[in-house]
Amino acid sequence: MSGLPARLTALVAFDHWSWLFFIVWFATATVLTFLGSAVSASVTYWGIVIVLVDNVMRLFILGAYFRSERKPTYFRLTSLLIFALVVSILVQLWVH
Amino acid sequence: MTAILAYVGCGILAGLFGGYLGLGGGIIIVPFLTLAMGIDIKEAVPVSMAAIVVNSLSASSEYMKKGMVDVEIMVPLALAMVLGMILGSSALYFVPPQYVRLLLSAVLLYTAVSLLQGQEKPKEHVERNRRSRLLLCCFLAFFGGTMGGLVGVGGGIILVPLMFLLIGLPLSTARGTSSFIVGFSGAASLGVYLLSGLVNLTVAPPVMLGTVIGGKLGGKLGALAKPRLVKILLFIVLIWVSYKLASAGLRELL
Repeated sequence: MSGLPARLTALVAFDHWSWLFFIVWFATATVLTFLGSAVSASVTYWGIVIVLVDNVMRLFILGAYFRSERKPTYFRLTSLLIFALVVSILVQLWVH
Repeated sequence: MTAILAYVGCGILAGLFGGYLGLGGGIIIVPFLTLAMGIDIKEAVPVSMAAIVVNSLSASSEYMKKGMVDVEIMVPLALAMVLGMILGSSALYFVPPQYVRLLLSAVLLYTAVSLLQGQEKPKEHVERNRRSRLLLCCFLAFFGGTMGGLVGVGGGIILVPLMFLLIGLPLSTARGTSSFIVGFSGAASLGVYLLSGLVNLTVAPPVMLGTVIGGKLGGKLGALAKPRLVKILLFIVLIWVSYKLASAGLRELL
């Protein structure tokens, strides 16, 4: 990991903390589901929303990496990917 | 209690398998939920998609730590794949899926054989004409994404052989890069399923918990895996998916 550029090291660190967070979150949701708690569905729903936001955050970190490395084409492609993800959700919602 | 443990176990297995091979893990989750647990396919697919996205989050950082993710290849391929999937899902009602299933089945069969015969290429080969081969790969990822969107096959199974055979990336880097991409292509579908209320919020937590754990282990093991073993496992997966697509396509056609 020591050979990675700083922004990519930040991405790995971000992924590590997200991983720990998701373990705790979904373990809680699993226990709540097992106990038949009324809030279990909301906990799971918001957990999945956080997973999606986490994905977009990763792309932002990646975009920052390309920017710091002065790679404008890849920076633009990353921005386009974020845009495409949002558009794809809207398009699929419209189709279905 | 037994059912919850079974869901967690299924998630761990899918995470391990998917993380190891750079795939999503849907190939294990969907059959388990439908065949073993009797869950309807319409509920199984969104749960599987949620698990694929968290699997990608867990496994890809392990590959990234070891420098096995090529971010410059990852971004254009992810973009091509997502755009292809948008087109594929939009064309769902206009293109007869049985022909696409048969076509994709033949492509995967050909890919399986090529993968088994393919050799790791030297670094100079990878650098030579990298841009033009990446462009060709993006086109194929776009068509792969379109076909995948039409018949519901995830990106990993198409991307790993593409990056290995066409761009010439080492199999470990191809798997690491693919494990990153499947998270992004899966996120688009997951968003739709969640907003449409199609995710089973009782089954999803234990499966996702298992996948978060299994994905990390799969990524760790995958980063150390021997290419020969990975090739054989990928070959079996490709043949299996090709067979399933061909049998479904022929059943609909006849």
